[in-house]
Amino acid sequence: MTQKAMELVCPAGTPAALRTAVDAGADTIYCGFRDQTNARNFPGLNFSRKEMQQGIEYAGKNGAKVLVAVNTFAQAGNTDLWYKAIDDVAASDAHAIILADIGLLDYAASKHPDLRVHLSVQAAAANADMINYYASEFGAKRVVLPRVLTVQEIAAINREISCETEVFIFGGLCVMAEGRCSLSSYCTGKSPNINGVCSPPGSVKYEDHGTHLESTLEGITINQYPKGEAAAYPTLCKGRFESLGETGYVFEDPVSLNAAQILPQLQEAGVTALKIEGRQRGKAYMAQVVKSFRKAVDAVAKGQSFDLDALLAPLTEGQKSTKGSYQKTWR
Amino acid sequence: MSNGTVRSFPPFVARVTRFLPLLPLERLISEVANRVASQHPEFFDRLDDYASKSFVIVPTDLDWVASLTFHNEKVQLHLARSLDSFPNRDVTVTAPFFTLVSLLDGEEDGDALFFSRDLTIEGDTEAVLALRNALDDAEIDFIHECSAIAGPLSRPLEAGGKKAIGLLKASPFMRARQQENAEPSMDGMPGAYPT
Repeated sequence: MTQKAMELVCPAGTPAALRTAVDAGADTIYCGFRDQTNARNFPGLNFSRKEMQQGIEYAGKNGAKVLVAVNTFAQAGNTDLWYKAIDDVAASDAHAIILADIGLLDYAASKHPDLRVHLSVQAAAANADMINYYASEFGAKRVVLPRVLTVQEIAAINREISCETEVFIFGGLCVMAEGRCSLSSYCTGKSPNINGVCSPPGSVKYEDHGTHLESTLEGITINQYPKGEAAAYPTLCKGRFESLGETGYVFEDPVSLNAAQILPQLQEAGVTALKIEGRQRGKAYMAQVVKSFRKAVDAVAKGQSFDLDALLAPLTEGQKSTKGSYQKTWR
Repeated sequence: MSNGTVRSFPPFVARVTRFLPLLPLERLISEVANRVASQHPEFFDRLDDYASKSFVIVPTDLDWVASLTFHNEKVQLHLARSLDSFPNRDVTVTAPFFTLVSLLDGEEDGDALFFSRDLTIEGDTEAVLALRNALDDAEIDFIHECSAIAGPLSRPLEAGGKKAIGLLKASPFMRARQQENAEPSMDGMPGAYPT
């Protein structure tokens, strides 16, 4: 029996990536302005106001929607940048805004009551009470669930809430409480939650020593990869450190999330939308990942089988993937 | 490890091209690069302050390296035989020639090539990210742009060039990544090999 396909929500860091994602079959694209109001504030990435409107128009002409992420936390004494971003999204033809900061949610609900609001994963709303609070107080129509829940827990949440749920299915995997993690701030002085950069590239160095590649963050060694070993992003949570006489991954191995195999269970659990991570990735990633998941999501809706693992393995961090918390097998 | 699509020229290509004069090649690539740049003003906008940085590109399977700077919305390109010719470089990007071209074309994902160790970056990481993102957004077609300088012959040249490169990349003439690196080795590592 054919069911309604889950919505495929795809990232875009540039206008070209947005067009690629739309052409590859994304239902919805999420992106951000070129400043610290969004959580992927990397050099050369993101959209000017004009590019955003052009992207929204391109998506609209091709039957897709655009969500604008204003999902960092407003800096005390400098809230105007965030208010302006919300005002600009409200004035655009974006389908919805993605917010995390409770003050900004209040601002959006008060100033722009007609603006559709999605609750960012950065809000770390991981239970029905929290989600219902955001829905009733600020009119959140959808919540992006943190990557700490099992499929059973997601199903339980969906039974108790009135808004839609969106879950991550592929890409970089935060192992910390999202929107709360300050780990890289201790090294770099910049917060992922305010400045929009975890392991800011200005603090990252790679050095090829011939026998091994070394990654450092503000001078602190994150990892040393011997020849022949896949490399990973230089984040502290996935660094390799010496502890109690042993060297290894203290927090989490450098792996990416790949929930392709459990898409039928996510549909069964009542999930509305599936999110691909990676606004920092290029067009080639977008084309391959979005095309693959388009086929998979449509196959699931028709009750058919599919296999994406071999196709997507080269694109994953450390060339390894995990089903994350959806099926708890972590150490 | 390697993502399976990376191919290198065999070593004799570097030995042969060692004797080719660099100046004509430098002028040709500069002309193409500036033609492309003039059609993509948004590239410089996206590159922003990092346009003042010096980017050195090292094709591992050829016998030259290229230095690029982007002052005043113009591409300044210099070729040399050795990395030592550019001691003040801010960024070094190292990969086989066709991998670098596929990055320029947006056909390969830079992060995936980095994970698989087919691409190495050193130096100013902010600058290299800005360049990568600016190039990715510019939607450059390398063969199309190179062919365009042939004027009325550009279309057949482009079609022929794309076909020839496709055949070349798939041919046994090109080398897949060395298999001896398939398993990580602790030899030469500074400390105990991690668990």
